Amino acid sequence: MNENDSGRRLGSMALFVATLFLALFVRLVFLQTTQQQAMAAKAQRNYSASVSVPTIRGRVLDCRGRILIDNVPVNVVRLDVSRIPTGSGARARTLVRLRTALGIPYDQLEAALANPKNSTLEPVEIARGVPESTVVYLQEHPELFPGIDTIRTWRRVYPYKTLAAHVLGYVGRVTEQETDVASNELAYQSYDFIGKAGIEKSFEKELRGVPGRIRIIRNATGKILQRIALSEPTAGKDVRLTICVDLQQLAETTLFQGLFAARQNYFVETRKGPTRAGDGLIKATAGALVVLDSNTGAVLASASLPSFDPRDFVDGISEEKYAKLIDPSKHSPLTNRVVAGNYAPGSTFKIVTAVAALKTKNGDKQMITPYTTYDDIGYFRVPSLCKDNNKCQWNNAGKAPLGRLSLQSAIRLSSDAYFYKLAYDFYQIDFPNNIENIQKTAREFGFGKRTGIRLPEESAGIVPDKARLARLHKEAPAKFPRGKFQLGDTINGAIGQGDTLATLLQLARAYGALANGGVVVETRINFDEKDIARSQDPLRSKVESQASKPTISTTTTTIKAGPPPTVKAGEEAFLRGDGSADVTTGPTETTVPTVTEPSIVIPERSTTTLPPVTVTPIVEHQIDLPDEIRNPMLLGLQDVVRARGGTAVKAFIGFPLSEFPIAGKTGTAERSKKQDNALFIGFGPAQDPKYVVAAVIEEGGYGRQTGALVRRMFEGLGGFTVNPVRTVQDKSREQ
Amino acid sequence: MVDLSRSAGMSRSSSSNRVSTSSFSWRNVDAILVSVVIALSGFGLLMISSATRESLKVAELDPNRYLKKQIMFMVLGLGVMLAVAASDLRSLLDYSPIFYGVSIVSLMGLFFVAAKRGARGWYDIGVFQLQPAEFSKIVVMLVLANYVSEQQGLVDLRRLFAVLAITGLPAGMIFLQPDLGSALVYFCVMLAILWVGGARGSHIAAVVGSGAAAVFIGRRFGFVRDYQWRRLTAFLDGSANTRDDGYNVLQSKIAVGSGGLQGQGLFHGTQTSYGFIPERQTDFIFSVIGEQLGLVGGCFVLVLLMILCLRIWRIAVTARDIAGTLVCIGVLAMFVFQTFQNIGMTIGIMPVTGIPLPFVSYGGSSIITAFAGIGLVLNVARQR
Repeated sequence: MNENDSGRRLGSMALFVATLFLALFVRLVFLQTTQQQAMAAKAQRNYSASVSVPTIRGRVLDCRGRILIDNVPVNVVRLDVSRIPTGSGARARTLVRLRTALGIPYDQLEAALANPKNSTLEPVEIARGVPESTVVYLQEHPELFPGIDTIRTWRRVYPYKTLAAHVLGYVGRVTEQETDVASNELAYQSYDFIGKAGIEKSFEKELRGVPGRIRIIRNATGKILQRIALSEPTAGKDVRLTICVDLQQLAETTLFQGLFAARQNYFVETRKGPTRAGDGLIKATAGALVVLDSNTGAVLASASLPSFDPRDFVDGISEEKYAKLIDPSKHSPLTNRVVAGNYAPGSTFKIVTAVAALKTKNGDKQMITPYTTYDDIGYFRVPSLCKDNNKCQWNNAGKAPLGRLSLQSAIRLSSDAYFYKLAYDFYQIDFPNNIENIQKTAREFGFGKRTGIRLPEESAGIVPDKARLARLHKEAPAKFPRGKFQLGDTINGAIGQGDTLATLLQLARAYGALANGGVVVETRINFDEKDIARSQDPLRSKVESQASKPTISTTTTTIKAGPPPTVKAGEEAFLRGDGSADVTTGPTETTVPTVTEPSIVIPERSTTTLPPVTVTPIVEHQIDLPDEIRNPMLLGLQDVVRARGGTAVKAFIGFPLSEFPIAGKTGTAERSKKQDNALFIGFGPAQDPKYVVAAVIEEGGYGRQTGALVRRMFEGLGGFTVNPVRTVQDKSREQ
Repeated sequence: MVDLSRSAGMSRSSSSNRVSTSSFSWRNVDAILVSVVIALSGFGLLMISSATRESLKVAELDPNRYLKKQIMFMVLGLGVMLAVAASDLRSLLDYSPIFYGVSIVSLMGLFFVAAKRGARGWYDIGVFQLQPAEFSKIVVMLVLANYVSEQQGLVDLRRLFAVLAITGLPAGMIFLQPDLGSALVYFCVMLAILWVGGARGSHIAAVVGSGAAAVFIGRRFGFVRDYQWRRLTAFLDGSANTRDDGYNVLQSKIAVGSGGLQGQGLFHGTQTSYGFIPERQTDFIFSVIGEQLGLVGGCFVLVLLMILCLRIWRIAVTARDIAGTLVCIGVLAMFVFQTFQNIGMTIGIMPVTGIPLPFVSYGGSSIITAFAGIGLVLNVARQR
């Protein structure tokens, strides 16, 4: 090696060193100028975070302020996956510590960490309901539990357990969509629960409240050094329901008993052909019952079976359990049949047909009067239709002839032929101006649209007419081959069959309108703030209650419980909606546990009740219903429960009708390949109606059996001794 | 080896060597080099204090704990520097095989300590942890410079293997400690001395190539441990966001980046005071500089270190004999590699290894070694 070579090598080395320094310099400049803002932002996220402070969810109260849904604090432990050490030893040690502290299986922790959904952005919830002492331990040792984050939030509790489950609804974890959509307004966090059904859902905005915000300053171990309040949380508002605990309790036990009383009967199929269900014990698979204040539209009690336990939802429900609750083969326990059950109203719809007929003019005369008679020969036949194998004859149930009938007796006996004839008349008089009179009247009574109750599940029902059928035919000709509305449709519609569908709440409201002189009110499930404010000013509420007549107090009656009914094994499970009992095979005979009338447990803190609230009804529509139309119908409806041959007389034997007269109507709606649905709607006291009780038993066989159930409700409402629901043994024909 | 006449360069230098040894005077000390070293060390003291005072206060310890110790180390280092500068380089070179033997024994001794107390690379001597890996750097430099200078620019294959063996023995033991970073320092010092000492370019390329191959094969058969591999590759993965090395690099980059042009001020900066920067007084001291003093502070350190390196290079070029040149080149390689590796790590262009920033990072063994290196360079400079 010569000097030159050595010098060259030293020179190249200097160049190399200079290059390295240049590289450092360039990178440093890049990092501290171009990247400065991004890095400063990251630095801030490291030590400082704006954190949502959970707010307490509003409570749900009954009509007198008793607490139906309350809250208890609950600790949620979350884990920031990105802060768990990745070295296998350190990671395992951290997880073992967590397992020990929280009592969660190791596998479950691993699964939570491995879940790709749990990205590094949002901490993962790994435990809920952690004891306070554990939380304190976790917070004091951030070095042992890297990435652990504890939050104190609220869990729903139900002092009355499953009471009014369908009305109250349930809560569930917010989904990603919900946090996205509502993030600006209600600031949902991933640990939040949100109303998913019932009151919890429809009043979400009121119940939610506004979470607070704090800024936390923490060091690298995650220890919080400082908390700076940015905004205080605002608690959610309480919602006060029109539902009353004692009446609701009565409604639920009554419906419960009603279903099993119905099952003691035998169903005799009167139909022929492929749609028949066949004879057999009545299945009574499901049912619903609603008590409505006929003047104000306030729902006083609402029961639906099979039911569920909202407590299963408070910490998140397993998919398995949830699947059972929505399984149609287990009769969809989550469905609130009062507002979401679409039922063919059957004979209960005849009041609509009757009012339509009484209001239809034939020139300057009436189409019929209440005293116009028609000879029921067991069927109604339109000879002109009988060619080309068309249907031209419509029968009574069992084709039984009922003789010469006025409107009053047609209602009492529930003659189909009488109402078939009315339907035919709409086609005969001033054709075609009257052919949709039934539909018109049905809409006046509030069918075919929602009743305004604040329950998200409410269905609108269906009033079938020309326009609807034409539209359906146009949309799906294969499914609806017939686009033209015909006489047969009207004839079926006149007795509430065919495509007519209504909810129990719509039926109750329609009967309420008939009872109160034609006022169709919006149905209500809650008292709004105006109602409550007015009620707290005694002088003002007195003045107003006198000024506006239909204002009515919701003070509930004291209910005396009768002897406990006997219930067979498996039935209780069915009621709870866990679907373990196969109701189609009927209850087993082996064990017969006694279920006592569930006593009303009033929790300590709610013994002081609030003053009753008066509701100002929201009138949706006023039907022109003069006494000449209304009175004969009221008589017919009263005859149903009191006069010879009345379809529900057997159900009301022994009821003090002289003290508390009741009017009502049975309905037995045919279903394809299933036993008939049994309906009954009653109101009372008949001279000054106050309450409407509507009930349905799916595959209940006969409307009179549902009548027995409504009777029990009126025993409670009237302040009489409440007896168990009886099985109505009656082999005579009935519709 | 004691026979001075075996080296042509030595025979030329021996007389003047003795003269200068007997007449050490401050006038012969390279003023620029010493000023730069003093400036860097002083700046280092400031930054160590700024990096640790808050967290020591929180921990209720003496807030000047590290500062005081570092001052002590520095005084010790300055003494070592002067002693080395004033001693006879020729004798140091001649006795280097003995130093080498001592180094090897002390490195081996660590394995017995480690067997008792788990893996670590130091002896506990009361207030001070003695790291043989640091001091051995100087020894290896001397041995290599001595051996290569004796070859008079003719490093053939046999001698190449001898050089590899001399370096590989201590470096291998350090690698097994495990301290990959320090082992790499030895490797770089060796390469630099080989390059300037006249080894063939193709040989050096082959050494580098087989070194890289060895790492990959080692990985394949498990000699390179998983965490070491992750360390080597973590910086390549910009998104690495873990509690480990990737996390440390990310936090360091955040600190440096958020410093901006002027920084957030001494004793300030959230990355430092809330403990997001790991090892902030030692390996990641540059992150603290970046956060607290910004680009200005970073460039200040870079420029000082660059002057230091160029000054050493200058002395290497003007050294009277090849042995002096090679000693300087060894010291230069050590500083350049440590600077580039350390700062490169904190700004995310080099993998994570536990290598201190010369004169700035806290640490007794490393700062005394650095001063000793400067002592060697001053020694060479004195003889021009």
